[in-house]
Amino acid sequence: MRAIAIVIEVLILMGVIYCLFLAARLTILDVGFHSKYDRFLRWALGIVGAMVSAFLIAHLTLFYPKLLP
Amino acid sequence: MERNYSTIEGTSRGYTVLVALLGGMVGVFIVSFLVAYLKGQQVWGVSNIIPWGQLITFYIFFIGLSAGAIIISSLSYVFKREIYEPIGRMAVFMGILLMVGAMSFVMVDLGRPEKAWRLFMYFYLNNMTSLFAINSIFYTGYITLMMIYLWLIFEGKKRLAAIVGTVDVLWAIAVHMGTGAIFGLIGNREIFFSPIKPFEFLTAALTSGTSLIILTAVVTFKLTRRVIQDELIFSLGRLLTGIILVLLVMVFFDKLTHLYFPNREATVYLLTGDYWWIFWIFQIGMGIVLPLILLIHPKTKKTLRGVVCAAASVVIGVFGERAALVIPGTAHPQPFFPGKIEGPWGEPGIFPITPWETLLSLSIVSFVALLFVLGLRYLEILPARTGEPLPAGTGPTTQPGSS
Amino acid sequence: MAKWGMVIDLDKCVGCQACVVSCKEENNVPHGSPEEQRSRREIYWHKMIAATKGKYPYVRTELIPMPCMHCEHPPCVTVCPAKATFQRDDGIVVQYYRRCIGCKYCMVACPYGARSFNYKAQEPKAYQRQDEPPDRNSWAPWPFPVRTQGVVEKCTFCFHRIDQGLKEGKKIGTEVVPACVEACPSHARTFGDLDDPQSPVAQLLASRASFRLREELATRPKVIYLSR
Repeated sequence: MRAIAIVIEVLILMGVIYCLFLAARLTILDVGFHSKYDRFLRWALGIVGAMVSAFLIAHLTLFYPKLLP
Repeated sequence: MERNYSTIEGTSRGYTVLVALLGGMVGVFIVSFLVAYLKGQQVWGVSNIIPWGQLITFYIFFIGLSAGAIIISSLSYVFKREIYEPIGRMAVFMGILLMVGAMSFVMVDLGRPEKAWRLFMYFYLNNMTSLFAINSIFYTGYITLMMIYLWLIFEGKKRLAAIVGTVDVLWAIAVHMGTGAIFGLIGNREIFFSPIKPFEFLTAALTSGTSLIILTAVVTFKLTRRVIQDELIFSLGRLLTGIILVLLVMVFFDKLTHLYFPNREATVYLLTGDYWWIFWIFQIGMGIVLPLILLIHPKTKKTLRGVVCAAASVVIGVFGERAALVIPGTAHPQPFFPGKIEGPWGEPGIFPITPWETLLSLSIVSFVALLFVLGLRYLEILPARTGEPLPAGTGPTTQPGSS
Repeated sequence: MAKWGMVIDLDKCVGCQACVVSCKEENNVPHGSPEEQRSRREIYWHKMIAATKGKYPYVRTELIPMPCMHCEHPPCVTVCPAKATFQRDDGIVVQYYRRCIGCKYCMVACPYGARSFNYKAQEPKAYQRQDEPPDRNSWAPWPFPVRTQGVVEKCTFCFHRIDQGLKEGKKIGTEVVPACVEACPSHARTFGDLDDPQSPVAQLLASRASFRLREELATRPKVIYLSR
């Protein structure tokens, strides 16, 4: 039961992170960065996003409350 | 003189293998962090006696490297010394990546990294008397400034870059002196407590940063078949000699002061105790004596190999300097009461080198290296090779470089 | 406002370490495994040290119980970046686990080694309390902190007892004392208000010479020792 809740929460949070990073990338490109930096930006944000997702999975696995009402 | 910069092609087999290897190490990073996070930090070498281990050592080491790299880049953009221009962009880029690496190190060392956002709630949720909190202001400003600096350099806005560069250099000095103050202001740890610590840290940052730039420049230019002016490296080598001499004076006076009471016992432990070898072989031997010999001796100071060996020795030596502060500094048993304290509370701490912690440290270093290698491929960091076709859309068509 | 302090009479202390054990019992501090003891990761909210001076046959050993000193100028409060450790109005230095990020700066800064890092989550059954109903016995509010891993912990002067006692109108220092003071078989320890001239601690301090540990660091600890 707890495992299902953790999986759902991780998916939701991954979606949030994806939207946030997409917004960051588009903003940076809007502000004036050349589109030639796009690939590097996608790589960097992608790697950071993967690490954040891994951390989220670990954190929720460890600290998700044990008692559910 | 306009210089054209280009990316590396990144099509060679060596490059692909390198990226694959480093990418694999990033996987190791995630795994080893998860192991420590889920099982608990006891899989590392830290204990209640030595609470700060390899990760904090690497953290202060990387901040030093980053600050040093930015100060070297300022030679090109702020002081407008043309000879350093080929490595200017690389230095700023390395500054950013080394700082990212340092932040990764400190984030994974925290017991509860998800609460680290509290450090950024300035004056409200964090405690501004703590150097960690003051440093969080410095570090965020520093990373932002470096990114703006690099962006201005890419856009070719030289004058703005010089202004931002000046601010960035001063900020880099503040960053690393703040990092030194983390240790220098702790009164109960006799090896740490010293007003000279911020300056010692800054000087060590300059030596290690310069050396890393020398090493990276020589290796990167060689592997990407670019020509680097020997005079650039020798000039950096002469700069390095001067800074190492300053560092020697600082370390000498710091340890001399600490050899007098009340700090004497802990300093004698540092110099002659379990961890004497970190201080004598790494900090003094490889960080100061060997590079000075290589850089002053007439036979070696004129050869590129001599300067590069000195640079490599300094990088390892300054890492030893950071370790000689963190580990023996907390390992020395605190003198709770006069007399010999019996049992475990009177014994110096032991810091074992554990596999998970070592893997984690090496994998974060690989992560920084991966970002660097990817940056070379997708961003125009290195000067264009002589004779290679210019990338489409770049500026003036004057001949690159006068080498 | 009260200024809670403790006076430990070293003349009466026999070194039985009942204070160490009772603190662990009261606050559910785990006894470390032999592996943890060897690698110095065991959690000690209250420790006891033995300091020896001299050479045989003229040797003198001092047995000194060391809880958290709850200093008036606590270096741990100065260096905590997240305000997880702070000083209450009544002088007790509190560790707030919810804010602690586990950076261990306070452990480095504490001159008395009073702080321990919680390395791993305790087994759930280690937190089972027998005196609570089954559905509450591992989730009770303070005074039963289920501390999580990754935070730093230390002696609290049993402020849960003090706060409860103040609420019930009891006298602190006589009717309500921390667990270590209660457990001492030779009544070597006294707890009370250092500001109150009538309190037993003030009277004890006036009776004999006293000292604090590492006074040269100017932390002004509030655990004061009466020498033998």
